[in-house]
Amino acid sequence: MASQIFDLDGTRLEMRTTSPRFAQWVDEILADRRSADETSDEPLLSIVVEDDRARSGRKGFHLLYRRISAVVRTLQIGTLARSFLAELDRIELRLRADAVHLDGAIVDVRGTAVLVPGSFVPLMAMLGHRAEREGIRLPAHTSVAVDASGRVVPSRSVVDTADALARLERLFGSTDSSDRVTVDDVVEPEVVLLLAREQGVVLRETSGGATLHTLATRTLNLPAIGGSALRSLGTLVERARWYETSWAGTVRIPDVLIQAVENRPSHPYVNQRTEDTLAGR
Amino acid sequence: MPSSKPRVRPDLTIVELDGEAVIYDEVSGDLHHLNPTATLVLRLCDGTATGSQLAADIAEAFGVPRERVAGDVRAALRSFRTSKLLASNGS
Repeated sequence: MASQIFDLDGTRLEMRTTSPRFAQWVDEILADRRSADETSDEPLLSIVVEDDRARSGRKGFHLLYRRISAVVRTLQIGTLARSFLAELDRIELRLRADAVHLDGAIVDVRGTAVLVPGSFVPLMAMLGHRAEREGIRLPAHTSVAVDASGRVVPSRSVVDTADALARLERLFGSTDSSDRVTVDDVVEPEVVLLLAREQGVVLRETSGGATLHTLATRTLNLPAIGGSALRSLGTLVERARWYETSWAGTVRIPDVLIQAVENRPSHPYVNQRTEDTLAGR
Repeated sequence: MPSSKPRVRPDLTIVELDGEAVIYDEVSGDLHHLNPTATLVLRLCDGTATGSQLAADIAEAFGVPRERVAGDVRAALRSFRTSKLLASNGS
């Protein structure tokens, strides 16, 4: 087990891995950020790499843990690497003002982009092949960048991503990450799915205001970017449909996602609700 | 109902979606989400009308009794003051 501590803009991050090759890759891409300090102050990232898969004939998963939670469980080394890079980026997002950085992830549900809370990602990681069978591609990230026009855009990385992937290719012979969604291009989420406060909510519509408020509370760099973040998120929300669900176990989430994508109700009910409220109805 | 003319702080960021306002106060770092009724009241808080006048305007616009609206307007203004959403000369 290799253990390394890196200094990312003053934050010390500890990384452990079972794989000497993965340790070498991390060492190469973060060479100038190695810390002499032996204590860390950010969640430990642990990486299990199935280095011996080819030799043993086993089909084991590569795993990335943030402390004890599995963030990603994948057969593709490229996905593991990209998830690792996304976790590195997440550490300094609160200080950045280049985009609205949101605790959230894009799930591809039968071709429709769905924005889900970042906390769903570790929970969905256990879905394995069920997601694939249902036509769902899970994310390789737990945060997304939103630009001023309300679109999800690729986020600037703390490392040179192209160089990091070239080094990965050299060490592992692959950079494939096609089993997961990575934001390499502009994405306009058609559906925003939130976590309901109450228990027992399978899937219900929520309001645009509630959706915007929740996304704003999940913005990692709101103080750094200020009020313009709210306008960017407002544009994103305006273009999407909004639902909420209670987390009722990993097994139910594919059905919830598919239902959210397939239901296409209109929601012009709020103005009517204003009139109803004032009229005491 | 107080006779002052409430005015929303000009430095707040307010985004309205389907009749519901979401407000970010950069000074306090607070986020607020208003229901449609409160949003309507907030929209009218431009420093030109008292709370009573706001209630009268809303009652007329929606064709509902003024007494019924007055309570909602009072509650909304109280909440705005508590949340420091109004300019000091409007409190």
